[in-house]
Amino acid sequence: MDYTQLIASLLPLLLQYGPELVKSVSALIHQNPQTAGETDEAYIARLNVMITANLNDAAKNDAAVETAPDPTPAA
Amino acid sequence: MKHTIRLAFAGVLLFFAFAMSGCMHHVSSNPAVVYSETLESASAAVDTVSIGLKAANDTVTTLTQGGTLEPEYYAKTHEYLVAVAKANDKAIAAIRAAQMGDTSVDWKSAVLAIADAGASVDPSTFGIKSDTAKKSLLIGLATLKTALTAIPASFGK
Repeated sequence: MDYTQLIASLLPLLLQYGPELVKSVSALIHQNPQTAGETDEAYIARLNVMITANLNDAAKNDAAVETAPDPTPAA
Repeated sequence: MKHTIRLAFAGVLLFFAFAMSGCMHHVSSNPAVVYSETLESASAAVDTVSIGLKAANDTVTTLTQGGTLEPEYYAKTHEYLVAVAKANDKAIAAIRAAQMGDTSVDWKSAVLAIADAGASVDPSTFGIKSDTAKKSLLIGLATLKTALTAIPASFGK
């Protein structure tokens, strides 16, 4: 199998994770700034919602890795 | 190939976003706001690491199922990914505790420990014989590596 074929076989994974990563990058760059007129309390509440969502997503992905079944073909 | 470039570009952007996030100018001087913003950055960091971990695990799974990667190298790589995932879990727990008001928890050290776990082993030296598998593995690990490298840049050491 040559390099081009391997990239092609990995494309589904790249397509799957590309959008997620771009979303994470955008979130980091924008830093979810406090909007004009938004009170500190409302902003903190909004940040807490995002923190919880990020942590829940991270925990789910970590668990998927830790419990992934062995893909080794049976002998 | 276009999508590979897009993913690589996202990885580079990610690195700079992380590096910038640690020194972004905060408009609010309210310590509570600054603290919440910092925790949000930390939560985004562990989430991105987890996405990199899952992408890497899916890559090695695909390579192993296709016969490109030998089973012993899947075992070594998976062991490495699980070690990083467990460090990520500890950081998740620490950030949650800090979010709930625990001021004694050292969430920053827990986040930095993820980068340490990632650096403890270099997967590219596992001794994979197939050059093709090695290249594919490096691509699969690229996002994770970028996320891990950006952590010390963002949260200091």
